[in-house]
Amino acid sequence: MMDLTQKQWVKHTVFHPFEGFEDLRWKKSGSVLYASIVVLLWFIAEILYENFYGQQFMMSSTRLFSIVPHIVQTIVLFLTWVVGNWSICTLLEGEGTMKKIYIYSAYALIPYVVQLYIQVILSHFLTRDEAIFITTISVIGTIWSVTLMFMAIKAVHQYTVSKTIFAIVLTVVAMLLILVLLVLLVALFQQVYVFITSIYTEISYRMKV
Amino acid sequence: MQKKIKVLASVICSCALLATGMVLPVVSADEHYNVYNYDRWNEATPSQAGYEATRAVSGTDLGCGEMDVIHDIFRDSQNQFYVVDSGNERIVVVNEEFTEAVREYSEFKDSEGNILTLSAPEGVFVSEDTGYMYIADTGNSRMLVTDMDGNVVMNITRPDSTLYENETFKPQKIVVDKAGNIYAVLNNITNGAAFFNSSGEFQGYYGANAVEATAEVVAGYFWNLIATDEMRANSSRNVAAGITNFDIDDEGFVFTVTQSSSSESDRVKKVNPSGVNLFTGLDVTFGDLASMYDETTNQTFSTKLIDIDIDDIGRLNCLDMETGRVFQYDEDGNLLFIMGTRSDQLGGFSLQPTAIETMGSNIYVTDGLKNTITIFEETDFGEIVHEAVDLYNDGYYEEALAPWYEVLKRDGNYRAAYVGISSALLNQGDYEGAMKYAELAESSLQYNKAFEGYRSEWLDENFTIVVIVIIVLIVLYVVYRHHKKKKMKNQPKNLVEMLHEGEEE
Repeated sequence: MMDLTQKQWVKHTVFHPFEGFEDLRWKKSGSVLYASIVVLLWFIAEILYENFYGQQFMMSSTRLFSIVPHIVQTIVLFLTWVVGNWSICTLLEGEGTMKKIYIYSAYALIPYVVQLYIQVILSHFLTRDEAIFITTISVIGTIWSVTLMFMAIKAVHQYTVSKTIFAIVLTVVAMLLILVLLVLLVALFQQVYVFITSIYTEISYRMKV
Repeated sequence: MQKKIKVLASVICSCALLATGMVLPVVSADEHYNVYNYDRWNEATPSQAGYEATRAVSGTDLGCGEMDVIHDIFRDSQNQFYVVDSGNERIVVVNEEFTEAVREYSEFKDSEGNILTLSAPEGVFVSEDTGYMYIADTGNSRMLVTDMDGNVVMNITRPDSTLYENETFKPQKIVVDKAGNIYAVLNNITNGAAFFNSSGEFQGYYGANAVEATAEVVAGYFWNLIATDEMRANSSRNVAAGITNFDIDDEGFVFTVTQSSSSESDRVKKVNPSGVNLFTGLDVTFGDLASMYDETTNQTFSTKLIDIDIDDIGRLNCLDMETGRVFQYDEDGNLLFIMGTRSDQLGGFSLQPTAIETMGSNIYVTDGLKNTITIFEETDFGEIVHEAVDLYNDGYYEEALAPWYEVLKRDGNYRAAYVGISSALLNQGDYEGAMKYAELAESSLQYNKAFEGYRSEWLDENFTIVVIVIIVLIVLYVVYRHHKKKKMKNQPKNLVEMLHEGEEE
């Protein structure tokens, strides 16, 4: 039973929100490669969404394109989610490993990512009067992804419903903590960098004299 | 990494600024200050001057002796100007060309033959409909209504009404509507303008400002719930700022300005006769959009509007006391021009510009320290923009096309021109052109209109092709599915495929 290829597993989990991830876990399947492709596609979708959306809906206000915010909004955010969830759920007797959380969460993102692409394409053919179509698709895709994400976390850690909700709330808190620490760390390293360079300049001046 | 990019961005920006700064003197050769306008990102960009200051007139020029603290200026229906010379306690009437004083009012006779004099008057209004002159005689705490020969018809003093709670009565500015109702801005009153009927009886207040629900106000409200009486007594009350000045247009709408820098939404209001602000839905910040820090004087300037004038066409001219700038808007609140500055030269004002008035395309601004009246005249550029905007606002989009192109030739940063051209091209059915200019204007709404036309035209032309393509695609898909099924049937099945066959249907 259920001898699916990796490609078929992706399809199976997306279209079977309620037992797909349990099946995936049971068969110990799931591919890091496909998960990474999904995250990468999300990153590209976000850039397209910000810069190539139909101009009848919004004018892109980017005057100087920077890729850094896009990386932070997608890839860094996703990794923080994975790390945050893992660190919370190891304490809460979750069974998931970091790799599994990564794969399951990425699979759960698929409807949202697809929805982004459909939005961008449709926005070039529709006018503002027909914006309801875009909104509908966006709402469906988002709700679908949220459901999948919930089931994914529930399956990967073998939690009950209430414990999953608890874990997700704690994960969000953990993500905030991680991001704050990251910002702090970057600022500190900048200080160190400035300190070392100033010592270097100082010494190099003395050497010349 | 991000910091590096930020640094790079700021370097590029400052280079761009330097470049534009070098062009600037060419753009506005006549004015000694930087003429600017706001672009779509709400940043100040150098612009062509729509007005230039041509003359500054003092009392000596008019032949009536130096003036002392000019507080107000008003133009009546015969194009005569009434200048309130507060320090000399008189009202000077100046002719249309603003070359000489025709008349002076300093003494008035009441019905019993007593002579009344003014004391530090601050406002004047002459009504075409009643034929009377209304003077805010601030120092004497009264309003005088006189005929044009100086005979007092009415003397309005502190109202003896339960509605009026204040001890003092200091009228500062007056306007009168067509029915002869009198509206007065009173000093230290936050309830709005005092409203008197045509026989001088106090009726109540009109056009009060609201307290803006800032975080501070909301927090204060919750503190108040748990505070003791003693704490409450010591806390400050949240009172909306009183209105500073106003003007009335031909249709009877009162436009108020509020000087307080705390409340941005009440800065300029268009109040209808029942006291409702019609500008609430307008997404416009009047005056300078951001406060500006001046390094040389170590001061921060933020807009404090002190007077407003609605001209015959319906444009709003707002005078900013803080920077000495005049902001001109069309009737829908779109910024047209910014002129004036704080300086000693012609076209600049002291710390105390006081009032603004218009006649035709001229703008008159009084200065309470310099004691001059500065006259701004329309430049060629200003004339073209006004022509285009007037045509556009009246719905003559195609007629406005030529002037809009001319505007762009002179100032490529003038955003309204792109929207105007786009609208005109849309009316002519040139959808692609309209889309192009909407894109240049970065107006999404306008682009949407143009795109709608473009799409329906495209569908009309290519309808058969679209239908054929769709049919072909469907046929191909069906054939593909059929082929796949056939292939599957011929192969021995494994369990998984059997499991999934039903779903794929």
